[in-house]
Parts: sequence; structure tokens; C-alpha cells
Amino acid sequence: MFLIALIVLLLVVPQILPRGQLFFWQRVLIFAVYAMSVALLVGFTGLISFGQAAYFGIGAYTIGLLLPLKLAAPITVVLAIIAGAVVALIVGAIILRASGLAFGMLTLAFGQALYQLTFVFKDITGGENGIPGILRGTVLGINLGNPVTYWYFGLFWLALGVGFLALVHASPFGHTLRVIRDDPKRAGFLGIPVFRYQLGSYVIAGAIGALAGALYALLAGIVTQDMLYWTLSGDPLIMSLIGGLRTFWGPAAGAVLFIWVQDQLARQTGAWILYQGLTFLVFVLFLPEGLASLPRRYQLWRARRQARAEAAPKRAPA
Amino acid sequence: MSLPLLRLAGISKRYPGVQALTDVSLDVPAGQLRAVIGPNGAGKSTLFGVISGEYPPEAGVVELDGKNITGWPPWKCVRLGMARAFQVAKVFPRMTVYDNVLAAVMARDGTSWQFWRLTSRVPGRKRVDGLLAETGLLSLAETPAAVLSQGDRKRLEIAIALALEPRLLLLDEPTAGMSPEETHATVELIRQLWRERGLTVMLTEHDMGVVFALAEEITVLHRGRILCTGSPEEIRGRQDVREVYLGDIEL
Repeated sequence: MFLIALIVLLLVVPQILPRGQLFFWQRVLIFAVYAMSVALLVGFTGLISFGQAAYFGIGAYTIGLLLPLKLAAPITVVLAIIAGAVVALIVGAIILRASGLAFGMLTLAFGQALYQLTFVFKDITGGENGIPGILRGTVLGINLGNPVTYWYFGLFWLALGVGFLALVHASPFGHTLRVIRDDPKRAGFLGIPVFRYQLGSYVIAGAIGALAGALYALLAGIVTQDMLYWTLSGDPLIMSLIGGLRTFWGPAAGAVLFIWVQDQLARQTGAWILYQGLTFLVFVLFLPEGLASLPRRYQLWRARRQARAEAAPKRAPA
Repeated sequence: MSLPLLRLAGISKRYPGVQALTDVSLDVPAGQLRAVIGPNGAGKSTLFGVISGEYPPEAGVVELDGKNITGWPPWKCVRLGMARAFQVAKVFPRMTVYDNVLAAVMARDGTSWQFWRLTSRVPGRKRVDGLLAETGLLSLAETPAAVLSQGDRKRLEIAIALALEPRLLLLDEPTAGMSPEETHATVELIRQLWRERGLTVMLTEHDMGVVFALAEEITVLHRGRILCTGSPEEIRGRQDVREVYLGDIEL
């Protein structure tokens, strides 16, 4: 029911919303899927990565670097996904030898190293200027330069990404990831080669992170260094925490709220980061399991109120 | 005489400052129920750790069914036919009892890594119900493992171990933390499983009642060395075993 409503809503959005707002909401969608990919790693595999911006950036820079070849957009998106997966496979095979905080630090180091590389190879990455003038081109006679057609183009790819994540979650592989998250050492005593599963999860997260980055570069029309910057690794973590780290849709809900609040605050005040931080603080303190726990909390609250209402009349005669 | 299922030869293991095991050699024939006893700190859990690949030994050889598995990681030992239940029950706390056992069943079937099918359609699900029934956990199937009592958690450990369909089952103090009733039920469960499945079982235990009720042969560890191995009657009669236990246990 929820899923059908969501799909319908996403399909009609371009017909309802003014074109000026499509950019904003497509950005929200892209970050929602990015956050979901990070949550697969952090919430469902127990690998705390502080460097997923590396894959978002790899996706974006793949689009930028392939620009001179004038390939069709779907091909560049596929190549971006492959680039994310291949880099994740190689990097993951090395840094997953470490665990816990050491792994987290290595992900951060790798992310920042990639960021620095954009300065070193200024000639092809554009350094601080980035790579402007990204064109979406035409696919099968459809002009993707149009915000409405690009909305549907993006939706198609994001749906593929979310569908794949959903399959992973519902599959034996996802089940095994949760077992590893709960106790990786014990998982080894089930005959599970933990390292390979963690690597698999890391590759999937990297591939989908790269997909998000590629779609974002095509949306923005420019590739910039902040698509690789470490704050972009932190944002999806915060989104996931706000929404519910160990739930499937929670991180997406968190992304919606996070970016919307950010946008509203940025219109009002230059100190928006302060208020964003305070919002995050409120969530961690008062809703530690995130937005996804709200329906259950509401049910509990109602059940308790009902119980109180039933208990009250009994007391009256006595 | 056939080959022993488990053979340890000259095992030594030290932690910083402690020599946990010294030159431990023992054979466990296939199908036997063997108990390893000894006072606290004798090296029982370390011995299980060495056998199951948790701690690689400094010296010595571990063989399972004639195959040298010394230094193998735990997951490989499990795939060769070993399963271990832990002294302090280590189950997967955020998952339900059912999902704990299902994870083990899928690992055994080699379906764990399949990401293209639904867990809800995995063929191994039928076996999960059977295992839960066998270990008396059926009514707790949907309970998160984190809220189980210590006794139930130990039984879940056994269910997980059985799901792996091992040839060698290692039980590290299977009745620790259990009430007398639970202990009795667990002893019966182990005996029944051992008989019906033709398992080779190796267990450590503090409760001498359990040891003498179950074991065919007993190995006594003391300060990381093997003091002796023998039938329950022989062990009962040995003066040196009494001395090791400082006479505070009625054998």
C-alpha cells in the first residue's frame, strides 16, 4: 500500500510541482538512495564507514571525465556504477582487513586521499573549478535536458537501485549480513566467511553510491570537489540516524527531512549549520531509533492510553 | 581400529604471561562422547578454541578425520564438520530465535550468499522448525535472542550447532547457568542427540553429575596439561584427580 502510494506520488510529481522545485526534490531522491546504500553498510552489516563520499564522487567524476567521449547518458551511468563497484572491490579487499574504528579511519583516509587527487590531477579534474558543462544529451529521441524527462530518467535508475537493495535485504545474503552485524566473530562459527560477505556489502554500497553521484552530476550539470568531500560521507550517516539506521526506508525518510530542513534553514539564516546540528541533537536524544520508530511509538502510546482509560472506571466504584 | 575423528598432537598455546596449554595430545574416536574436565583455568576453553580454529596453537597439530586443520579459520573448520556451542552463549541478539537458526541452516546448505532469492522461500526453512522442536524452542521462535533466559540461550546455541550438521560437536559447559530442571533436560537432550545422530561429542563441564551421566571417556586437564584419560570409573578412582580438585568435589 505504502509502496504503491509512493510510486504513484513519484510518478505524478513532475505534473504537479512547478519545474523550479523539481531540481530540489530530485536532489532529495538521489540523497535518499545514497543514504540507503550507506545504511546497508552501517546499519545492516555493522561496518561503520566515514568515507562513502568517495563512491558518490567516483560516480560524479566518471560522468565528468567521460564527457569528451559524448557517450549516451545511460552508458555513462552504467560505467559509473561499474567504476564504483570495481574501486570498492579493490579498496575493500585491503581496508576490510581492519575492523571497527580502524576500518572507519581507513575509509575516511581513502575518501580524503581521493579528494586530494582532484588537486593533483588538476588538468583532468579541473581542480577547484570542477568539471562544468555536463550535458545530459538525448536518449532514444528523448531530450534529457528537460527537467521533467530527467526526473523520470533518474527515477528509473533510482528504482533499480532501491529494488536491488530491497532484494539484498530480503535475501539469504542480507540475512547473513545482519548475522555478521550482530557478531562477526560468532558468524565465523556458522561456517560463514565473514570477510567475503563484508566485501560484498561494501561493493554493493559503493556501486549504489556511485549511481547516486552520477545522477547528481547529471542533475547539477557540473562535477565539483565537494562531491568527494568528507562532509558528504557524514551527511548520509546523519540522515540514516535521523530516519532509523536499521530500517530499510528510515534512511530515505531521514534524507527527506535532513535536506528539507537544511534548505529551509539556509533561506533564513547564515547560521543554518548550527540549527541543523541542534535538530540532529534533538533526534538523537529523543528519537534514537529515528523516524521509522514513530508508527510503533504511536501505537504504544495509544495502547497505553487505552489501557489507562479502561483501568480508570474500575477504580471509580471502590 | 579406525582413525580417530579428532586428533591433537603436541598442542601448546600461550597467552602473554600464561602457558595455557602444554604438549596436549589426545584422540577422540568417531562416535564417542568425551568429557574434558579440570579446575578453573585448566585450559578447557582454550583447548576448544584451538580445536575450533579460534586460537591457532604455537605448536602441535589438529587433525579432523585425518585432515590437518591446524591454523584454519573457524569458518573452514565448521565447513569440514565441526560445530561449537559457547560457554557464555553467544547468539545473534537483534535477531529472533528463528532467524538465528535459519542463518545456521542457510550457512550449512551453502545458500547464505544468494542475493537473488527471497529468504522466505529458502528450502531450509523446514529444517528450522524441526530443530526448534527438538531443542524445545518452538514457542520462542519469534522472540528476539537478546531477551532469552540464560538456559534458553544455551539451548539456542545447541540448536544452531545442530543446524550445521556437524560430525564433531563441541559443547563448552552446556549446562552452565541452568536450573537443576533445565540441567536435567539438557543432559537428556544431549544424550538423545548423540545417540540418534551418531555424533561425536566433546564437552567440558563443571557439573560432575552431568559429566558422569554422559561421558564415555573423560580427559582431565590440569594447568594446561593432560593429567589422564579414562573411563568414568577409572577417573572416579584416581587419587591424583581428587588432589587436583583439592578434594572439594565428590566424585
